[in-house]
Amino acid sequence: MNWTESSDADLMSAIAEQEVGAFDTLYDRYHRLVFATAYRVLNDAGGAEDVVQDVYVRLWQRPDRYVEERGKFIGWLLSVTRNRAIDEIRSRGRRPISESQLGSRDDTGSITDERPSEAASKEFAIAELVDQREAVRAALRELPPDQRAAIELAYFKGLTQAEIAEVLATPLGTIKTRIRLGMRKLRVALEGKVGIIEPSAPPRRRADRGTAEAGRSG
Amino acid sequence: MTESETREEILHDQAAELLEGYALGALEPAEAAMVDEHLEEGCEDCEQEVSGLVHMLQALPLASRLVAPPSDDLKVRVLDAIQLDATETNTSSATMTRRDERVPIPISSRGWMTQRVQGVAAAFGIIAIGGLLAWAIVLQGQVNDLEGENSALASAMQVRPAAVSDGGATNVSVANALFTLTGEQSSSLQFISSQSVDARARLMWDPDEALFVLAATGLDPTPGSGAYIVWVETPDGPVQLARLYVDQSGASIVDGTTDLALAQVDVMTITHEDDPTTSTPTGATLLTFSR
Repeated sequence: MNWTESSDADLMSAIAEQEVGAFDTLYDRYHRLVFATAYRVLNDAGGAEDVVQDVYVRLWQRPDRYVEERGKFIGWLLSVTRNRAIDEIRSRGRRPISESQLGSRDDTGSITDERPSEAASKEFAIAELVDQREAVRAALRELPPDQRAAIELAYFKGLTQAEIAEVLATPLGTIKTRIRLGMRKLRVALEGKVGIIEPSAPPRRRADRGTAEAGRSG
Repeated sequence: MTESETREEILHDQAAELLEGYALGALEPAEAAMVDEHLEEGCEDCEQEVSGLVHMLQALPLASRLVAPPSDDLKVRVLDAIQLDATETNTSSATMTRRDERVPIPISSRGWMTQRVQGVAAAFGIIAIGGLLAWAIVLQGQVNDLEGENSALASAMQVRPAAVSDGGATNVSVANALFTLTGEQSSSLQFISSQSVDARARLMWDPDEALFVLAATGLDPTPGSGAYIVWVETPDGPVQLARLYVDQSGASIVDGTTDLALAQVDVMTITHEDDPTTSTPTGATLLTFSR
């Protein structure tokens, strides 16, 4: 059977039936984004590949962890990836972030002009994602750099607000303000972008203690 | 009762201030516990807010730069792992049948070399990999001009600044990096390097976009450690395409513009400026770029 035209949700259903072909298709479709996400966190290709393997193997073993009603598959998958990569960082023991990663050159580098990536995007074959990726990038670009940096250090490096304050040598209150303002702006910017945010489903009764990121694979 | 409501209101106000940090997982334990407590009390507004924030955060990884793709054997590893898993957890004959039907593993990069490199506009980007400086070099071709009769676009190079990590890189020395494109399935290319500890290069070719991405790791990012030169071999001999270096402040710099017809390029070489043995590119004699 050719799965390439199947939706993510259909593929996940097939994977629940242990269809290797469906898994294979889902791997091809998103492995580069999964890798890019893990790499973004770890900054290490070998470690990022391990995370990719781990994420996909878990997906094969426990496809039921994805609940369609809670949102888009890709959001869930990348969120799981990010969480897994953050776990990896923490298990390694957090290393100080070099000044060069924090300076005027933001750590992301990723949000700005990115033609080569878009060209490569057909590798995961979801044209829809090109627009979504650009929408997220645009929203991030519009943030004041200080706010964006604080949010990204928290989300992609797993730092707490206090740790961010420390590495940026900035008062904690300032960091908290940047994060609050930045998150609000981001939300406004991304709301209404079809398919990116789908908070339509009822939220979980409560977030996991201390770490509220959805899709935490545990 | 009134007193209790007041206490809850205060707690609500305090928690509401923390929800962004909570959704990010960036609170200190005591703060997170406070939000947990508030949510456990059933505050629907805050729960809704957290849910919305968490969904929003899920979109952020979409913006990640697509770095060079993972190695080809990763998919093999993953498929091996899941099929091993299938055998271990399931002994039914149906499972065995599926094992027999194991899908062929496509090599995602297969065929990239079957395409020509066309005329080109060049853009240079920099990415950092594993504490080492890496350069991603992107050559964008014109798909509609296959014969490439010097149709290359002369364009200013775009430089995208990126992080330069300094972790443990000081002892790494890469004198010479050559990129060779010799086989149709050769997608993971190794540096030819005498002193490299962990240097390697990856290549990604998108035939439809005529886009060629080269990422080299293992270059020494120490500020002031000297420059790397990107050479290309042309029919008229080697031409310096760009000069890459990290300045004293740690900034990554790419110098150079090109109006070359890169369709004519057979070999691309990176050398270290200070290495006397590689002051000129030697790739042409050692390596060929078949096309």
